Amino acid sequence: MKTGLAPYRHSGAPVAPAGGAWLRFWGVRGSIPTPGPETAGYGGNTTCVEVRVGSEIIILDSGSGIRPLGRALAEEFKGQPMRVSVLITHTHWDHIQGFPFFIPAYEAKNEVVLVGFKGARRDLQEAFSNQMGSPYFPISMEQMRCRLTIREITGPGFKIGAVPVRAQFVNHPGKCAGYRLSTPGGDISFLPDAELRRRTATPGEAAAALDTEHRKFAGDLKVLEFIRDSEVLILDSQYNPEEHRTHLGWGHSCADDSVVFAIKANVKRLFLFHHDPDHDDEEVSRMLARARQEAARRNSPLVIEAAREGLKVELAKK
Amino acid sequence: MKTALLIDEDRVARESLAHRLRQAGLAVIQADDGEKGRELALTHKPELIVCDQLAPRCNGLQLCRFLRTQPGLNSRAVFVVATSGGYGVDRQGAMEAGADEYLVKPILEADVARLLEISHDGGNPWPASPAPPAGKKAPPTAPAAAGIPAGPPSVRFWGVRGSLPTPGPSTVRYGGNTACVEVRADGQLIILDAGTGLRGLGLSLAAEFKGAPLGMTLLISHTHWDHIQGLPFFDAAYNPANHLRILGYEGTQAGLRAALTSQMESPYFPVGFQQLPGHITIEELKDSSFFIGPVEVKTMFLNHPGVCVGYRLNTSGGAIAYLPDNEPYQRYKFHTGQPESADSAEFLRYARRMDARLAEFIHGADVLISDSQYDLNEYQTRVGWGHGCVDDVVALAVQAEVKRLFLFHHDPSHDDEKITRMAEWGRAFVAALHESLQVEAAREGLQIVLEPLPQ
Repeated sequence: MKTGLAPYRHSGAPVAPAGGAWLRFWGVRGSIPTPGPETAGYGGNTTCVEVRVGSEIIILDSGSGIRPLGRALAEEFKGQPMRVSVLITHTHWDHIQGFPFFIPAYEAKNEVVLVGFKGARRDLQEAFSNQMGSPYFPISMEQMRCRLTIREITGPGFKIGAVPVRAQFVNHPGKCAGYRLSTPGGDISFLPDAELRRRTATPGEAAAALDTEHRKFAGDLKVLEFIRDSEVLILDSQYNPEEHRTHLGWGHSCADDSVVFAIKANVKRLFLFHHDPDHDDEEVSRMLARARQEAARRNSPLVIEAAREGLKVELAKK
Repeated sequence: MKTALLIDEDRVARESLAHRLRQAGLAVIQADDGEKGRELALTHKPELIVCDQLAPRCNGLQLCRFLRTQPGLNSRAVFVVATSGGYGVDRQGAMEAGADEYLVKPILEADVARLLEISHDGGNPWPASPAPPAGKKAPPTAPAAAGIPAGPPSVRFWGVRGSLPTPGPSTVRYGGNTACVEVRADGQLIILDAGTGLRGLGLSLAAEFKGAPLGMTLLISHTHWDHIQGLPFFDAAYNPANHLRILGYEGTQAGLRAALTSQMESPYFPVGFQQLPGHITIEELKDSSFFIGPVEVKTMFLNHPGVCVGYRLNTSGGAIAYLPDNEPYQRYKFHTGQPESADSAEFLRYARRMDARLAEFIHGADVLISDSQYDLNEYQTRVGWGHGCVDDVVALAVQAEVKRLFLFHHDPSHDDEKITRMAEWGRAFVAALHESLQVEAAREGLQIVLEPLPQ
């Protein structure tokens, strides 16, 4: 272990969130960044979502999308101090690789809090500091001049400033969390990497033969309750059904399952997320059209979008 | 009389320091590579060891780490790592390896005084750590499967970006993937670096060869993320019929294999390196000259944090030189070497000599692919970051009588327009010099065919 980070202490009084909330997608791709004209529409950066609730800045994961987000924050704050909290779902590369390029972390007056689940302190500290320094990176984590702390969540519920957050482990290789943030404009559920168990539990053709949807999602009831009634659900929908059949157990879901799952949980808006590196803009659009057809077929009012870099989603105060 | 051991490939630098130490009353022994230095250290048990960080065959950090485990050495011996670069991350690495001091070259009178002072006081205790288990021999080279159609040598860019992949509409022209260049020459498929561009190359090879066995050699310049992060996504490594031979230098830490394989471990990646079904060998290079089939490969250490190497491929169609990450020394030393002081002339002499060595290495190349991340203005605030600016790279290429220069390692914050302007600037500079060097910006998908040389 290279760094000895200070234990977490919240530096300022929590700011009560006022008005509504909004979020913006900065990275929507899974596995590896995919530059190029064929992905320029939805975007090729790996996982990063910015959430604003009042003056609270919460960043969901630090894939390569956090680099442009950091530049935008620097532009917005123009040298004024900022405090940001970065919630990490898990430490696979596509969720942490942007952090060394997060400009605000190099400013001494800023405060950055990395937030992970219980038992994650050592994991997070090692995972983040080991990706910096020799032999992988020319700058070590100690050279980040901001007040950098790691906050370990000790229960299923906690607060970031005045924003209540809940955490739930999901089905993905290694330890991987999903988060649910409560805002005055409704709740945001973020499950960027999760395989709904339906197909893994019943591989092959048996999956199609399952009789009730309750049985299909029997292994997911906890997750289903976790996301229930969310205003916004950002959910891993990497594969189309054909691809998922050959990728069972890889820890990612297919878009059709995501739709059924979101409808069952009474979600208002679903964002298909963690786009496959092999999917070009056309394929993502096809998957979106198919997902909307599925919702229409079920007479569901569920609003479905494919997450797209730069897309801002408003959550108006209720 | 105390004995000093100096290990440096650079004879001029070595002799200069040896002269000063002899004047101070020390006996001096010398070696031009790390392996010879290791033998001399074990035999002569010197009181002072000064080793260049980039000593061939065993770099300064590796040697320090090894010698710290040898109980037979003088218990008060002082180990000093010397470097041309002087990067903070390397200083930290040297200290972690057990070095007593870290000096930036050229070594001046004040540094010699410091050497004498610490060798008088004595160094870190020896041995500082238990001896590591005996290293395994590198596996024998896998026989290369055939498969590359005959034709003139060619170069194709798959990743041209530095630091981090940069997707988005503003980079679609030149590309946002990190370093990866495909070279086909004389029946060999040679891949330079394994940034995210390697993913696209793998998909393309699968489409071209439709699963037929393929032999490939991957040359790694260094193990910073942007040069290795595509390996877990290289489709060809998942084909059990393929043979992939990976070559590179051991680096300053646990070695090439550890650096490459630990990116494919929990908690970072769900597929382990051992699970890759292709025949994959990883070999650490010792020699600065070797062959891949009939293609002669030469290497040279570059000015970049850690251990970073440039490659020169001498093919039947001409020479291809690849310097993906490098900061030319002249301006760097001018800025970092106290330009106001009386020693500035010595700094500049040293820098010119180091740049001349690099110019000799790339001399007459038909294609030079070189780090030119910054424009001159940006460079002023990024001196010592280990990357070059267009002006210096053009000057170097002109001096070395290179034919075509490809600006490479584009900055993540540069959009397509900016890169176009930088290439135009480079061409204008060449025109002002009345030279014939061709300057282009490396662009993903761009393929260059080299005409075979007349026999």
